[in-house]
Order: sequence, then C-alpha cells, then structure tokens
Amino acid sequence: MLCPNQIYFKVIKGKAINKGVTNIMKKFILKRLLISVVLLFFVSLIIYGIMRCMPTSYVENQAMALATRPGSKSYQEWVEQLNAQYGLDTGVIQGYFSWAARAIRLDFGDSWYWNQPVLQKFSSVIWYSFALALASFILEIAIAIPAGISAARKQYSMTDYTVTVVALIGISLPSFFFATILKYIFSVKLGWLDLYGIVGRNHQSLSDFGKFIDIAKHMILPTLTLLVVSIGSLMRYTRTNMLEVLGADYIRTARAKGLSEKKVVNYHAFRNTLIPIVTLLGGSLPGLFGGAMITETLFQIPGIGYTSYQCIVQGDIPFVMFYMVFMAVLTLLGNLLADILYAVVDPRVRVN
Amino acid sequence: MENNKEEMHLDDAARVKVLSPGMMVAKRFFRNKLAIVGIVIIIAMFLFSFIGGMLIPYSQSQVFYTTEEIKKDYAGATQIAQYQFQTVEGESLPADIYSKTMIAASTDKYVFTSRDGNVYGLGTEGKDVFIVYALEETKLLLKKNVDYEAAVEAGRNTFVSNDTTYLFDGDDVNADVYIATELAVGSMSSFTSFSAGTKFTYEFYRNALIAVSNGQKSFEADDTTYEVDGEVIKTGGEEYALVSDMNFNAVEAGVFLSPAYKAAATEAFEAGADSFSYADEQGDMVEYHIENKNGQYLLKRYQETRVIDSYASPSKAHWFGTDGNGMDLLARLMYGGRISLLIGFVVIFIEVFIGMIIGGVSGFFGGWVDNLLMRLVDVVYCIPSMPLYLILGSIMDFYQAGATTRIYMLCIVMAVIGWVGIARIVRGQILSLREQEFMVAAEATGLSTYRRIFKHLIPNVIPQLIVFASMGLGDVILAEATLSFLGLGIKYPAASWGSIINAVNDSYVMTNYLFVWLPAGMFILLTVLAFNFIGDGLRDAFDPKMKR
Amino acid sequence: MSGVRAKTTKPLGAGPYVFEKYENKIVYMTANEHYYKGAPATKNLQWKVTSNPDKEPGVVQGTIDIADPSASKSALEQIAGENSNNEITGDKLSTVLTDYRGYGYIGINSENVKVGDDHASEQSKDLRKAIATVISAYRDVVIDSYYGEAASVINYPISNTSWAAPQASDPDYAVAFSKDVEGNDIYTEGMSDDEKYAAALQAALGYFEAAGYTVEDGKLTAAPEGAKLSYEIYIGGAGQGDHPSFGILTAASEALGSIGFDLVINDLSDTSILWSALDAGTAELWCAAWQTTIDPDMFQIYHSQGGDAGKYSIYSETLDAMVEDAAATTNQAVRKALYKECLDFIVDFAVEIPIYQRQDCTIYSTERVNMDSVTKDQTTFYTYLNEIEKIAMN
Repeated sequence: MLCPNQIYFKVIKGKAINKGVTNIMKKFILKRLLISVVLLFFVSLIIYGIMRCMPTSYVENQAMALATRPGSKSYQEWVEQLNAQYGLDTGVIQGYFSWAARAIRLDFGDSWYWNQPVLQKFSSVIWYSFALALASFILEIAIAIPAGISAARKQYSMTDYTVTVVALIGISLPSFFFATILKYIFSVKLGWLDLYGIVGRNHQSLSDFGKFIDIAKHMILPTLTLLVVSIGSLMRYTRTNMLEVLGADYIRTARAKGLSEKKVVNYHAFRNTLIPIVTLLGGSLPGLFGGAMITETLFQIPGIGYTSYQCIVQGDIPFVMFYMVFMAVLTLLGNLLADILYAVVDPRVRVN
Repeated sequence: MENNKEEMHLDDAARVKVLSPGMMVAKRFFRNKLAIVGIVIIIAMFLFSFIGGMLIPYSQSQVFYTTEEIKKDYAGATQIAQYQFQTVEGESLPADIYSKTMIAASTDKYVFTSRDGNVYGLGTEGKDVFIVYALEETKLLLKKNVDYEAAVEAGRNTFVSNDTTYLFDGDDVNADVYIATELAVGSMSSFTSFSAGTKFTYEFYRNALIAVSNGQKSFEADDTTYEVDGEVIKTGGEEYALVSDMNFNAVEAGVFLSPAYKAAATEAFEAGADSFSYADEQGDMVEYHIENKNGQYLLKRYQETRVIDSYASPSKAHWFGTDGNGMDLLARLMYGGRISLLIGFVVIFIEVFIGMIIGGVSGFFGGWVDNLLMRLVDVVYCIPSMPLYLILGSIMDFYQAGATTRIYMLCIVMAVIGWVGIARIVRGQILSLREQEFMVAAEATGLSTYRRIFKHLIPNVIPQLIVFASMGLGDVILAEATLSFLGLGIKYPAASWGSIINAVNDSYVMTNYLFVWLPAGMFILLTVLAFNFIGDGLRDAFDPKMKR
Repeated sequence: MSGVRAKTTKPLGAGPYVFEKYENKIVYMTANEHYYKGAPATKNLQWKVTSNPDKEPGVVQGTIDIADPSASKSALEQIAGENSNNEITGDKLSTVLTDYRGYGYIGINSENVKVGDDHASEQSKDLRKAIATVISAYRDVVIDSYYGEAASVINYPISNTSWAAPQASDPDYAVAFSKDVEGNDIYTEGMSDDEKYAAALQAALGYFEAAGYTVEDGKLTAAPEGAKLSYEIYIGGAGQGDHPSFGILTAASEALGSIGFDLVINDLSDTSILWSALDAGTAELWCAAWQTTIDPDMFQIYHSQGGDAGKYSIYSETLDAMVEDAAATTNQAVRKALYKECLDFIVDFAVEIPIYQRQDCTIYSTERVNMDSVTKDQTTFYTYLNEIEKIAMN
C-alpha cells in the first residue's frame, strides 16, 4: 500500500488525472445537493407530522387559558376557533403543504409562542448560542488534538493516563453536574463571576466595548461547561487514531528510512491522523447552531437551545418547523462537507 | 504468533503451536492489565446491582421516618365573637343557627325560619344570652294575660303560663304567639371546668348563664347550689367552673386545658408577650409561643413529631444515608444500577444490531443500495429527538404503562434515534476493507457472499465498533440522566443513577449532602471507565500489529 | 395601522416604574419621576429570570438583591446557614415570611367517584370519605418533613389568609376527616403515629362497608354497582415526585393497597394533561392548589353555575343557596358564619381534602439593600411591591 503522501504527489504530477478528478467531484457535489433537496422534503414532512401528533398542542393550551376567564366561551368553542385561526383544522398533509408553499418563499410566518416573526426571534437568540459553541469548539480543538497526539506518542506513560482519565471524567458525567460545580466554585465561593445571566447589572451604563467585555465575562462559565463535556471524546478519538496510524506499515518504513522522529510524527503521522478527525469536525458544523439546552437553562442564557425547547413543549409549530428545517439543512450540508473533506484530504478515496 | 514465554529450540514441536484467532485475542486481552481492571469493575457493578439488590432488605421506594422537635400548633384562643350553643340532651340545632342568631341579635327579630323549614325563636334572658326554642304557632289571647304583662314589663319576650312556655313576637297584644320548646342556650361565654372529665349538664349551663348575665350571686341546677364569685362558679366552697369571654380550643381532640393554664395564657396575651411557660403533667416547664393574628391567638410548642428522614447521614441503618425523600440510597443505587446498566446494554445492543445490518449491506453492495440507505441514514439523523421523547412520555402516561414497559420503550426510542452513527462507521470500514487484497482473495477462492461478509468482513469491523460501542454506553447512561432532568426518563419513585445524580442541581444539596450524589457519580464514572478500558483492551487484542 | 400599533405595544400606566425593554431575559424599568407618591428612591429596576435553586446563592453572591425562593425547610436552613447568627435574618440575608394567598388540596370529582348513579347519596359520600380519611392521616408527617414550620396543615378548604377561615380557636374547629362512619373521633390523645394510621385505615373500612363494598377478613373483595376497586389520581410533579402531596399519596396508596383498594398514582410529566382532564371532567382524583382573593366568595368553585363547577361537580341546591346567601349580606360576622356552614357542607360532601397552607418567602441582601426602607409588617396581600418606590440601596 502506498502511503497517502505518495499517491498525492502522483496525482498532482498527473495534471490530466487531476482535472478528471475535479470533474468527478463537481458531478458528485451536484448530485448530492439535488438529493439533499429531496431529503429535505421528506425530513420536513416527517417533522411536521411529529409536531402535529404532539399530545397537547398550542391551541389547546391557549383555549384552556382563555376558557377559564370569567364569562368566556366554552373550551370546545375556543379550540375550534383557534384551530381555524392557526390553520390546524386541516389534515396533516394539507397543513404541511400550506406550510411548505410559504416556506419555499422563505416566509416562515410568525411564532405563536413569542408573537414575533420567526426569523426575527431566531436571529435574536442564535448568536449567543453560536458564540458559545464557537468558543468552545475552538478551545476544544486547540486542547484536545495536541493532548490526544502526545498521549498516543507516549503510550502508557503518565501523560497518557492523565489524558485518558481527564477525558473519561469529562464524558462520563452530565453537563448540569459540571455547570453546578463551576457555578458553586467560581461564583458563590470565589465570587469572581456572576452566578448566571448573559449581562451584568451595570450593563446598560457601559460603553460598547464595555458591554462586549461584560457579555464575554458572562460566557466564561458556560463555555467551560460545554468544553469539559465535549473535550473528552475528541481527545480519545485523536489518541485512538494516532495509535492506529503509528502502528501502520508506512510509519515503520519512514522510521526505517531514517527520518527523524519529529518528521515522522509531525509530518507523516499527523496528517493521516487528521483524516478522520477533519471529517468528524466538518460534520459537527450543525452542532454549532444547535445550542445546548441544559447549559443555557442553567445559566439563563437566551439562546436557541432553551428557546427551541420551550417552543417544542408549547407546540409552537412555525418556530419549530423553521428551526428543525434549518438544522436539517445544516446537517445535510455538514454531511456533504464531511464527505468532500474526506475526499480532499484522503486521495485514496478520490482515486476509487 | 510469537510465543516468548520460554526459550525454545528451532525444531521444537511445541513451538509451532497454533492457537485459534479467538484464543489469541483472549490471550492478548488478558495480558492487558487495564482491561482486566475494567472487567473486574463491570462484574462488580453487575453483582452490586443484581445480587445486592436481592440481598438488601429495603426497597428502592421505601420511605424512612425519624422524629424531630418541631413547633406545632397546640391550641387557639380568641375573644368570643360568635354565639356558642349548648343543646338540651337529645336535641339538635339546624346548621344555620349561628348565622340566623347573629342576624336576629343585630336586627332584634327573634323569630326566624331555618333553611330546613322549621321555625325557631330566641328568648332573651340577659345580655347576649338567648334560649333557643322550637316554635309552633298558636292562638292565645294576650290581652289581660298576667304572665304576658309581667314579661313585657321585664323586657322579655317569653312567659310561662300553665306550664307551657310561650314566645310572642310583636309590640302589642296582637303579637304572634308561639308554643316554645326549649332546645338550647346561646351565649358569648365559655365554660371551663376545674377538673378534667367534668361534663356540664344543660341545666347547669342554662342556669349559670342566666345567673351570670343577670348578676345573681347564686343559682340552682341539678339539685345543687352554686355560688357565683366573679368569673368563678363554686359549689360547696370548691371551684367548679370558670366563665370567660375567651374561647380556648386545643387542636388535638381530647386535650384538657385547665383554667389555670388559660389564666396564664390570658395574662400573657394582655401583656403582649411572645411566650409563656406552664408546667405540664410531669411538672416540667414547657414554653408556649404565642402568635397573634388580629386577636386570634395561636399557641405553639415544640413537640416530638415524626418526620421523613431526609438527607440522613450514612449510618449503620443506612450505609449511604437517605436522599431528599427519605429513601435509602444504597437500595436506590442498587436498583438504579440495574436500570442504568440494563438501559445501556439494551440500547447499545439494538443500535449495533440495526447499525451493523444497514451499514454492512450498504457498504458491501455499494451502488444504489448504498446511496438509498445512506440517504435514509441522513433523514433519520435529521429527525429531532426531543419531540419524540415528549410524545413517548405522554403516550405512556395515557396508557398508564408500567415501569418496566416504560424502560423498554425508552430503550427502543433511544436506539432508533442513535443507530445512525454505528451504521456510518460500519459502512466506512467496509468500504475501505472491501478493496483490500484479502477480500479479493476471498472472492477469488469462490467463497459465498454470506461467508465473505460474516466470516471475513465483519470481524474486521468489530474493533472500531467495539470502541464506539463502549463509548456509546457511557453516552446512553448520560442521556438517560439528562432525560430525567427534564422529567422524561425514569419515573419517580423508580431509581436510576441518572435520576439520583439529578440531586446535584441544588447547590445546597451538592455541598452539604455529598453522600447523596457522590456515590452515584462515582459509579457512573467507574462504569464508563471500565467499559472504555475493556474497549481499549479488546481493540488492542484484535489488532494483529500491536507492538506489545 | 402602525400608528395604532405603536400605541398598543407600548405599555401605559401610572405606576412608580416605567417598562423600558425586555432583553436577555431581563426586564428593565426606570423610575417614573411623576409618580403621585413622589419620585421612587431607586432609579433603575431590573427583573431577572431566575431558576429556583439559583435564587438564594444569587442574592448572596450579588447577581440579584431581592428574591423569592420557595419556602421549604431546606431553603430556610440554607438561608440561616449563610447568616453568621444562624437565623433567617442576619448580616447577609434578611427574610420576610408571609402566608401564601392560597392553599394546596386534593380534589375528587364526585361524578367520577361515586356509588351507583347519585353522586350526592350517602353511599357515594362514604366512598369518598373512605379514601379521604386515609389520605388525611398522612398529611402531618409529610408537610412537617418538607416544610417544617414554613407550612401548616389546614382542615378546611379555605386559605388561612382569609378572614372567613375557621381558626383553631373556634370551638367547632374539627380536623378534616377525623370522624368515622358513626361520628366518633378516630384519633385520641396520645396515639402514636402508627396507631393513627391503623385507626384511619379501620375507619376507612367502616366507610367502605357503609358505601356498599364487601369486606372479608379486613379486605375489600367486591365493589358495589357503579363503583370500582381502583381509582386514579393525577399529580403534576413533572415526573420527579417533587410535589409534597406525592409523599402523602405514596403512603396512602400503600395503606389502601393493604386492604385491597388500589389508588393508582399517575405522576404526569406534562401537567397540561391534568388541566385538560379537569376541564373535560374526566379526572377522578387530583392534586392542585387554589389561589384566593381577599374576598372568600365561593361562587366560582362551588356554585352550580360557577366557572369551575365541573371540577368537583357538587351541583347541590342547598350549597347554592348558602353561597348566594353569603354574598347577599355585608355583615362580616354573618358571612363568616355562613361560609363556615358552606365549608362544613363541602367537607361532608368529601370532594376536597385540604392539605396545607404554605408561606411565601422573600429574601433581601442585608448588605446591599437598606432594610429600613423595606415595607415593615408585610402581609399576604401587602408586600414590598406595594411600597416599592421607597426601597433604597445602601
């Protein structure tokens, strides 16, 4: 088996082969995009069906609240009126198509629960979640990958055990556990940070830069929580892959050829370890927008995770449909990106 | 196949001992110390949960009690603002007598009809003292009736004539007359006897009330003479009863409050004190706390009360203490262990099963089958899990599913959502393995498809799968903890490690009652650790190129 | 339309503070200089959305200054632990406890829990009283455990904060469901708790028998026409058993189970199912709480034409007449007596088991809030909010 680097060079040298590969890639991407559209249709249909089958709907809750007011109509009458108003008196398929007809034109309607246009509510909450997710994502990569690699290189040493144990603790305890501990240590006992919230009490009177710093300070604990929970699996995964790569034949060849250990690890082994990791990270793109419901709830951060949970529980169909379809689009894109990256980074796949 | 155990000569027959692949894997596995540690931990967990659960005498939902000193209501006291009635033995008053009497007293209309249709009347006997009569309309000539005139002069509305009591309602001789049958006496006073167990007769009440309100010094009742001395009624020089305008009522039925006690309490009320002390039957001084709410006094004292033994520290009776609801933690850990381990294994098993089939078929056949199945995987991946859990929760509530059914349904839903990851990995592995030389060789030697997939391809997928599965187990247990946090997982009072560790959400519990969540956390940590060690060990054992 | 919308979406009022915006889960308010009682002492007010476990640490740490944690026994212990004098009012936190304007209860729909066709017959009442007697026996121990001194068991379906509530000092104040089918007291002085539970169970058997159940060897073997041996009770405990009534019902259910009566506890993870069932009149038993107003008018819940009449389904003309009478006069003493009669009727009808009256707890940061400026003598209906314009910071 040739090592990927050798194939890579071969491919670059053969420009004709290179062009052919690019064309195949283009056709591949196009085909996937078309299929994704079809998939999106099915996914949104299924999601709509599930939302309609929820046990109690938004309409029932509203009718309940309205019917208990003195002198109002009966519950049944309210249910019928509201159903007609919100377009829920049609069957599931019909309701879906009326939603889809408007969604195609990017009109997602008004959120029932929040009484605002869906897009407006969404854009007001998504950036906090995105910032949190991005911050923890970057930190996660910066810490986990080097740690995993060094653990693999010095297998069965102190470093290895420490990394393994830390990683396992991270993945084996729930997020609310860490959140509560962090809150307790850093806020209650040490008093360095506010207990919860995204802004402090003096937020209004700060300058723009001050406001930015204020929000950043409040994001420290939630980011740490998210980091601790997700760092473990990436560390372990890196370590596992690195171990596998270090045991491969071509590494033995490289060593036999007399290359320095540094070159062997940092150049040959590292790039091959990255292959599955890059695909993994590419596929975690939707996760950046997914929000972390429990962390947001515990820290009272008005993010998308908390908002979407509320909407699901309340049966707010417009918002949930938009959010789920948005996530589905991201997931499909993420998959496509992962597959493309897999092809870009590993030329063996391309040649097939 | 290097057997480095002992020095061997090149031509030694034993040197060529060939072990089957399975035995090789096992041998390499057991050489790995961490893997052994992992297996030991897992076996310990299983023993703890299943065998321990059978041995422990408590059930997971058994509540334990202890006693504590709590300030409880002892008695209430108030200035009497409502008419109190004593009925003639054997008679009964209508339910609305209180309200009707108050209306009558304030409007001076002493004849009224109660809700049950009977006519009643009040005979004035003194200030705030009435005798309640059942009335029957009759015709009687009032003019020139001596008794009637005497009553009018005395300011009363009743008179006795020919051994019959009459009540009249009106200002002149044309008033309505009724035959009155005595039912009860009403007043704004309360009577306390000086010794527990004395029961006052109706005659005593009646005559005492009339005497006290008219300022008489003595009266007769039941053939005994009583003297009135201020608030105290004496007979033969001994204190018999206390009349007061305060009403004391003990909260517990049957408790006797002596006049001395009431006197001490009244003194404290008037002094505006917060509490007073009074000796109980054994002679020990007990402090009674006074709470004053707009003239309604509530007396409280510390009493030994049975309470739920929540957050009890570890002791001989409860090795790990009790949780917030008074249930034994050790029992809950054991039963919870059963559930958590069960959920973990069942979910992973189903996931692997589904994932392997779909991933295997997809990877092996390639082409349009691969495409279709991977698109299916994409669709399932995009479906959100939260609404599904919510729907599942309410469907099971609706059908009142038993606890075991709930757990299995939860497992199935979790597995159906989670098999995608495994399918992808299996497919990826198979895709790359399919092109390797050994598969080409297998095809060339004419092996059937079935043998190629299951005897050659799948065994090479297993290492990655095992790593993924072992990490997945920890994820499943955590996912169950998160669902319990939202109320969708294991229902109370059934226990699972996830629901026990939910107690940590309250920072007060987290810092003061470490024993509640620390063991559960340790158990989860150890189990996940052990599964990972086993996973690592298996992977190392399966890899033929391992350096060791 | 935008002109109207601009006016209808901006709040209008004459209170001490003006709403500014709701952002980041915080409501911002500024002082209204033209408030008729004078400009408020503190210029800016922020209301932060907070989860219950965060309330007390938040005040201690400094994120918030005033909070209202739920007043359970452990919460009060936590507050006392923060102060150096180990009381609930000290150098770090000051606490004000007032009665909550409502009470917790367990309700029974008399149309669903009855014998035969008549929900008001003596047999139906006896069936409900049987269940109620066992449940009532366990109220004390659970309420004492969860709330300690911060809540008290009540015996009439009315909040202690109401002036019409019967007080312990009233001579005819009776512990709810403490009499057996012949009218004798079940509990005597000096009974241990276990004896009380056993006595309650015995009394329940008596009621079951009077209701028409067949009793053999101290167990129920058959139910009369129209009744069952198993009834379901809903709790809105979010699946975590956090409701104080949960402990009561678990114990009562076990006790009833030992005589062959099945009380199935359904801890709903979604409380809206409970409200739907109540409105539809399909619930058999349930746990909830009523919030009350200052006037104890009983029309809404107990009168046949009240909006919530379907919950208990009493539909009794006698009670209707009593409720109307009580609303027809302004003499408070008379009304109190009339309401007492109504309460006796309701308790006898056995559709509501009053459980407890808890307290509201408000904590202030002693260090940051000027405690002298906080409303003194707070009551259920007059809290610090009524004088919020006076509160000043240190």
